[in-house]
Amino acid sequence: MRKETQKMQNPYEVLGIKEGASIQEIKAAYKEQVKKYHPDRHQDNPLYELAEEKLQEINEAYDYLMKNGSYSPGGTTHSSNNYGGGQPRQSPEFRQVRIDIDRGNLGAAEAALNRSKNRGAEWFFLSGMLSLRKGWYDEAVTNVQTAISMDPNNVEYRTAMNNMLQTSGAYRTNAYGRGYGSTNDELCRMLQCYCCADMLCDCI
Amino acid sequence: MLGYVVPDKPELKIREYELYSGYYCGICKSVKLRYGQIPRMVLNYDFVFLALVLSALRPSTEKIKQERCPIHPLKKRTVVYNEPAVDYAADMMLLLTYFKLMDDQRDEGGLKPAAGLAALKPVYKKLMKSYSEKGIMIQRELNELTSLEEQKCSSLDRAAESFAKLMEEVFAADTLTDDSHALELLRRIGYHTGKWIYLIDAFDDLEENAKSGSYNPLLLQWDYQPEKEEMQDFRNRIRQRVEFNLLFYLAELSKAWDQLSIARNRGLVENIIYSGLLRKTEEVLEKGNTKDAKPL
Repeated sequence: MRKETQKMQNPYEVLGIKEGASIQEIKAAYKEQVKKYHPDRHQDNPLYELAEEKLQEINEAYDYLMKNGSYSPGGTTHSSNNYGGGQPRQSPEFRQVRIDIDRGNLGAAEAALNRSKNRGAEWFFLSGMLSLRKGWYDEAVTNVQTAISMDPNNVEYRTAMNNMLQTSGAYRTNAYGRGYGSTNDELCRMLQCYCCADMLCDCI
Repeated sequence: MLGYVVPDKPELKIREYELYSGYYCGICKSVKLRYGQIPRMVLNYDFVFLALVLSALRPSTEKIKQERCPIHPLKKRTVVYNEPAVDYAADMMLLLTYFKLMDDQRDEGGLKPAAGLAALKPVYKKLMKSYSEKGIMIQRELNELTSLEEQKCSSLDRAAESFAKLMEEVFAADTLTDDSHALELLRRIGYHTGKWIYLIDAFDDLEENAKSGSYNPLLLQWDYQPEKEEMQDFRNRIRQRVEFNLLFYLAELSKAWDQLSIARNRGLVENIIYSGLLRKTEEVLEKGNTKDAKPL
């Protein structure tokens, strides 16, 4: 589990916090440490290089904790019981991933998906749901599309896709409901350009 | 921050328009009063949006003056003054401008960014003192953005993430409110505003970037090959997907806004969220299609 042992120290130690600290605590500690070692503070100072090195360590530790959600030297993988034959619709391997995504433990979910070797339709679907939670909507669509092409009859995947398309459409409907678009004929377009030009002159 | 976030002026009430201008001039005045003349040159509409969203959470009404200024010597203008949201937006604008100049200097060198940096240096030092944590986080995301550009990252989501995170930090005005729920919503508004700005700018600049060979994640993600495809065909090919993304950002942005408890300026902000941003989206999506050629 512990791949970066030679390269990297325990990131919690680097940041001076206890293991399992929350994201807020990690962020606070990170800011604290960066302030301490910021190159601005050590210019023309024999400690400059040392500070720079330290800063890099801090950055690496922070990156690690942010990307992986948490750092567990022991590793807490769930044993995966793969069915030999056909794929179950919701395989037990991904039960924890689903829970993590629901609860917003995105780092843990991402780590588990990256570890998994079983990259069937459900893997793509869950990767899509994870992207959605992260705000990566483009990857969400790509992944869910892949899931649907691998398992075209799955209702869960299709529903998720429809929901995404609806979200994006709902904004427009809402805007139209507030009167947007009522001024959309040619004459108004001309006026609008006039107004834009006018606005620039007015303000700048 | 490029000035894409604008109101839909024909749909504004006159008093809303006056107030909008008042915020715009207010930012300018705030900069002048606190930092002097030079930094005023970097004014940008996106930060008016920031000031308006933040002001909406504050129950007191803004103080307004009619004033002349050297840039508009003839007519008196409405100016919002003594408004913490305006001061905050002005500070963020200057901080980002300084970082932008640093970036320009690294990319192109030359006198212009160097002169700007020299002029803004004292302001920057002050700002880094008052917003040291925010400054650190913003700088960090900008470095990440630069390194993704250098690596020619081919994922839109990955490339846009740093800019979105940066804007998240900019919108989370913890010096103005300590309501953690409101701050969380402001972060979401910032994040999605950032993604929207990033993508609309990338789509807007396709031709330019393809010609100059500069980085644009859309060209890479959807594999643009100039010898095989006209730019307009490429635009049409990816338009639907880009539209989906842009509208999704706006949907999330407006959802977060709806959950805030708004004390004032609702109409004005909602004009931007539901009209200004949508109009801009459609304008840029239609770019290059002849029927949309500008009259005159």
